[in-house]
Amino acid sequence: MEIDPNFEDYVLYVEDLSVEYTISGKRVYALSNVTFGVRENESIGIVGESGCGKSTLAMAISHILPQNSVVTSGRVIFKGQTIVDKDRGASYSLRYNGKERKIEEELKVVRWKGISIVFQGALDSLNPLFTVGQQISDIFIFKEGKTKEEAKERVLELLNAVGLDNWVLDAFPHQLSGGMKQRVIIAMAIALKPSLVIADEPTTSLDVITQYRIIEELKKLKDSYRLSILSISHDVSMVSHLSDKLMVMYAGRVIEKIPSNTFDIAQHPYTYMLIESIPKLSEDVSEVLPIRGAPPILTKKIEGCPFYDRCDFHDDICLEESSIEMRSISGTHQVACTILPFRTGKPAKQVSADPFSEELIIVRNKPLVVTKEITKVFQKKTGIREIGKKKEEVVVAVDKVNLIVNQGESVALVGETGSGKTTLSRMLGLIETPTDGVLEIAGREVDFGNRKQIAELRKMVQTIFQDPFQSINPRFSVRNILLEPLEVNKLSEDRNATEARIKRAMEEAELTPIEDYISKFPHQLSGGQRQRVSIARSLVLNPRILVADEPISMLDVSLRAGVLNLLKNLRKHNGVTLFYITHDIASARYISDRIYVLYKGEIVESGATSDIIRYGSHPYTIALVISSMGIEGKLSDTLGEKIFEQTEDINLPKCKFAPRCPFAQKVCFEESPPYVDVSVGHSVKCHFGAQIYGQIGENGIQKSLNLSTLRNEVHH
Amino acid sequence: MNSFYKFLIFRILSLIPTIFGVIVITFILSHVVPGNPARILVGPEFNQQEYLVIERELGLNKPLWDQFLIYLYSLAHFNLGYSFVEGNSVNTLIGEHFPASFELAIASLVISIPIALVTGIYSSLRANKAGDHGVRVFSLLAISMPVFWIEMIMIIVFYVNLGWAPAPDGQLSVYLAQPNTYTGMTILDSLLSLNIPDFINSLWHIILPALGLSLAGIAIISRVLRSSMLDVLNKDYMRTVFAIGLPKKIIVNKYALRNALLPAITVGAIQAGALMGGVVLTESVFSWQGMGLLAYQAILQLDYPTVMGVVLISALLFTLVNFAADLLYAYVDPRVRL
Amino acid sequence: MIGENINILGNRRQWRESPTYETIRLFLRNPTGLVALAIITFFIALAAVGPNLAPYNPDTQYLNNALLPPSAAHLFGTDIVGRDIFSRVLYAIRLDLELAFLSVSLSYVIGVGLGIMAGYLGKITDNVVMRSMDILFSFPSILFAIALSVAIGPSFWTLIIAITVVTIPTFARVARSTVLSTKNELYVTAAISIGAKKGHIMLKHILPVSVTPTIVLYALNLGAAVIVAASLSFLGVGIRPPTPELGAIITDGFQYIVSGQWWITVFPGLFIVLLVIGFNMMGDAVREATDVTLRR
Repeated sequence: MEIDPNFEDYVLYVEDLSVEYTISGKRVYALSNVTFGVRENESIGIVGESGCGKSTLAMAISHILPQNSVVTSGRVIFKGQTIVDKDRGASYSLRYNGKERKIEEELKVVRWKGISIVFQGALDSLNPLFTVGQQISDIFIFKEGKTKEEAKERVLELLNAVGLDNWVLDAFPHQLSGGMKQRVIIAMAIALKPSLVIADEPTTSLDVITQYRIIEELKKLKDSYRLSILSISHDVSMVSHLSDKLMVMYAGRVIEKIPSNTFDIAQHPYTYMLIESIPKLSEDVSEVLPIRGAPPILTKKIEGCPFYDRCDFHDDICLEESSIEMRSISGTHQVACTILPFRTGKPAKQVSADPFSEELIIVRNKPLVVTKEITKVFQKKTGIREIGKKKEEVVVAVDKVNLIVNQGESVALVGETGSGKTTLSRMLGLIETPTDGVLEIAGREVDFGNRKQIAELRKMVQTIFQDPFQSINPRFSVRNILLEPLEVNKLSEDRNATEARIKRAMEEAELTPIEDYISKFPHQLSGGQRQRVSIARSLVLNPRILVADEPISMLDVSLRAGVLNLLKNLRKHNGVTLFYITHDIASARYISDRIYVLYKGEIVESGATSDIIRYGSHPYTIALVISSMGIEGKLSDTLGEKIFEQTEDINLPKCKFAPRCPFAQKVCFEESPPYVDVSVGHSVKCHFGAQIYGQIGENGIQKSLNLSTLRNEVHH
Repeated sequence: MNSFYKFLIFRILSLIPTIFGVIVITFILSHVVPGNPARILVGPEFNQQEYLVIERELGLNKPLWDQFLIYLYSLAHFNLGYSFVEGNSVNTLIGEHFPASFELAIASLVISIPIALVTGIYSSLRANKAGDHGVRVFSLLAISMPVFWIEMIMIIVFYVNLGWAPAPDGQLSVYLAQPNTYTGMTILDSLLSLNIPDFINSLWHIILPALGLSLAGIAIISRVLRSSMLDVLNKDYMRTVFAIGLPKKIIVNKYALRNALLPAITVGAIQAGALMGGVVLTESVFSWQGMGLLAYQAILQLDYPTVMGVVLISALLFTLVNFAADLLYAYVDPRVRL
Repeated sequence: MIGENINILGNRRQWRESPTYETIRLFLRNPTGLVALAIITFFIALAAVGPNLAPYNPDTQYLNNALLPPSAAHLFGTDIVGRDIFSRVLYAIRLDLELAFLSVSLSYVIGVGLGIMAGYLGKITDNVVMRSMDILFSFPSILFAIALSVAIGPSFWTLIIAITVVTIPTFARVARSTVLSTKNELYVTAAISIGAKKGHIMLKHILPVSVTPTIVLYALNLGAAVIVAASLSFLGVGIRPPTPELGAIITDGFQYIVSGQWWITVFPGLFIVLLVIGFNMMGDAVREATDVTLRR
């Protein structure tokens, strides 16, 4: 084990830390021999999938693990003071015996004044019953003995520092958007000017653009407060944007430490394969490959390399205990692998010159799904409860959307939360009834009142849902899940045919060997396997149209590519028409021929995938592409601060994006923008679409975006 | 606070159909259901003529709809009818007996709320340790005992065997003179009339009935509080305050308790209904001169209007308690205010 | 389901892997569950064979044996008219169990039925049903039972009706809320999208979910029913004397507690307490078992 002799250099030094839990009698080895240090004003990012121990690490350092945890080895040293070790533990107790009291006394200066923590804001990290002001000012009142008035002043300063308005002070958490809550939590974390901020999934479940904003915010604060940041996430790009150095965790261990903020030089097979499995906008990769299997369950002590089963490069030596030791490969770049880093030549990436040429599938001009001005309006319930509110509140979730999708085509509907993409997908999937407009499938207009027709069509159109943990009934075995579609459509009379159909669906969904899965219940399957079951269920009926609503967003990163490839193959081999609904434009590029970009219920831009990504001409598309690419500092530089603003859904101007748009003119507020065709099959709903398209020029958004010229162009 | 007032108005409006429904049901029970009061009044020697006279007197020969309007009319004039037994108005009877019941209920709340809070919190902070097990065994016992039985056991132990408690003879020992009546509540009246012997004696008298009445409520609220505290302590927002290192008192009594109280408020309101039933039983056991004893005696004497009067008044009171609990809930939790 | 018989796909019933099996296994591993099971079995056995064990006729009065304290001849003593308390208790247990199971089962069927209907059909049905439940709920249950008994006149069936009516709203509320939450589950939406009809969704997806919470409530309500029955007997609106019912026996002893004849009151009461503890522990144990399996 590496021991750094002079950890006084470090703000935080974690040395050989191991933590175990006891959950209903079973041991869980959550952390094993974790060692690393964080220096002053340094930002270290930890990447890992769910269950890799990264949150345990964050809570152990903050000394707030639950009572059922035990520190079995090592220690955590903060500014030379040991705060966690075998004797002290790392758990928090509300009980107050002599020992607890002594530990808390020691931690008094460390808690929040030394180390603070930012949790995922979308979860209820703020107490729902107290206003933001109350929650933050208590920090000043009880940690620094400030009076209420002094505290309030400080809270206002803090809120302004993270870009929030004064009214947030008196708001309850449920009145704030996800991004605002996240900023409140960040404000809390920097309240006492700590030396170290731990950020545990600080951007997860926020919109892409808001994520970008939060990262910028954290970076700014890091400089102005000279913070050290330890950020933890499953999101590779977020971590690399925020950090100076990177670490990768797997199965409770640190398996790689990278001395820079790019994963390009990753050497551990896991890191390497993980990065390779993620579709990216900034690279032209024609195929991404998943990592097979699933992360190990930590109830057993693992002998040797924990990645052995899933690794493409493994050897017998990997099973020896010594294989998990960290080895230096160059300078401070360390890897817990005995094989790959020392092999000459990593496998070459499969890069093709033009990714869009290879996978081209000839799509005949034969419209299968057509929508005409399709609209969905949700009425907020108007019961006695709303007495005093004069107007009935309506939410226009989908606003006059026109699409034409040809047979065998794969299209993506891209948008953030509230863009109406899910509602649109549910209408396409015949689950939701449109308020207005027409949906045509295979040339026939869908009559939502006609049960018989709907029943017939439902066999043809199938939906794959976002959350595989909720979209299949936990009380059904896989067999019953797959039988259900056949039974409800009275297709299960012929036993042989039924068997054949189920067998084929499972094979197509890659649930093989069939015997291993057919009798299992959902709780025995991993997320990726569950999603395959969900896909198999939709394939049983032999659909011609598949509507996949964010099918990968709930899955572990290493399993996502598998599901993406599966969908891709289905489309290639079975000729199904695929609707892929997502917030992630990079995965949309990987899987789709065409992209529709949605904003507040409207299609703001549509066109061939390559056109949208290179020459996207709606300011919103540009913002999406830039934030997904994570180009350094570019978003707020090019598109200004306004782009981050959240707008209320009521009283939107004619162009719904105008309040956030850096190019917005008077006309945008007064006249509804037309759809402008900027090139063949590429249309933009913007008054200035053509000018912006002209400015983006030959090299696409990534290389030639210049706000001032764009702005000049628009203003003329 | 604007949203809170909106909620208040909404909740007041929704009281109307509930109260109306309660009145309809009491009407059905007293006028429609077969066990005919006229027949009861006539008594065992059935006499058709007498029956018809009484029926006419009670207005039971009129069409149901008219009867209902008359019923509503008299309720609107706060007239609950006349007792079969003594002939005096049920209003007066209830008015005379209400303060004693109110006093008992208040005493029970004074005992049970603090005990339930303390044991519930204690139990959650020491979950699965000896103290917690003790509290849980006590709770299980307390919710499994009929009120009147445990009260009889208390009398056997504390009065008959130990002699610590007074005889179960109401609010005051018979040998003491009643204090001047101001409120009808003996403890308060004796205090107001500065009658110290009465004051001490009445305090001494209220201990056992109030305790017996409280047991089940203490147990139920303490159980709910324990489990909701355990839930809350595992919430993400609690991790934040742990990490901040706020004083533990603040963490428990401010941040955790406020959230944990919400389910306890709901259950507490339901428990208020059980408390009212308990009052009837307790007063019957301790000869406590309240509404419960009034109902008990009325049942034994088949005094129909009095029983129905007590039931209606209790139902209306219970509705008000639920109303108050909803308001309290909305006050604590901004999310339900809308 | 046909699926169980598909040969190529294996016809081994995967009962042991199912969440239901896991729940039962957890329940049986929980000491609370085992104790509850033992207590309830004990009482059911007593109800079945108890009257045969009774040394005396429960209603026969032996006036010269009045108010005897517990002894070998009269395990629990005798009352004022010389009836053997032990024999009366044995008979009473059968009656009380009948009362509890009958009334709570009845209200289970009605209440859960109403709740599911309200939750699933929504709109007007929901409003009408739940408003009525709210109104029933506005009566303190003992007082409502008193009013009902006074109105129809006390009898075994009056008691059943009274207990049934006051417990219906509890079942209806719980059933409705599980239906409402299940109705919005993604797997129900998924079933709709594969073309499932309402009946299928109800039967296969929603009903099974409402079983567990209502079973917990069923156990708890059994306990409550025993207590309400006894309380009503005490108030004179329940089972009429001389029929032996636990609450009625306690009431027989009420006037003798001050004069020292404690046994008439104490013994039947202890049986009530034990029985209700059994039901309550049963409810707790079922809840704990389902909590764990559903948390995954």
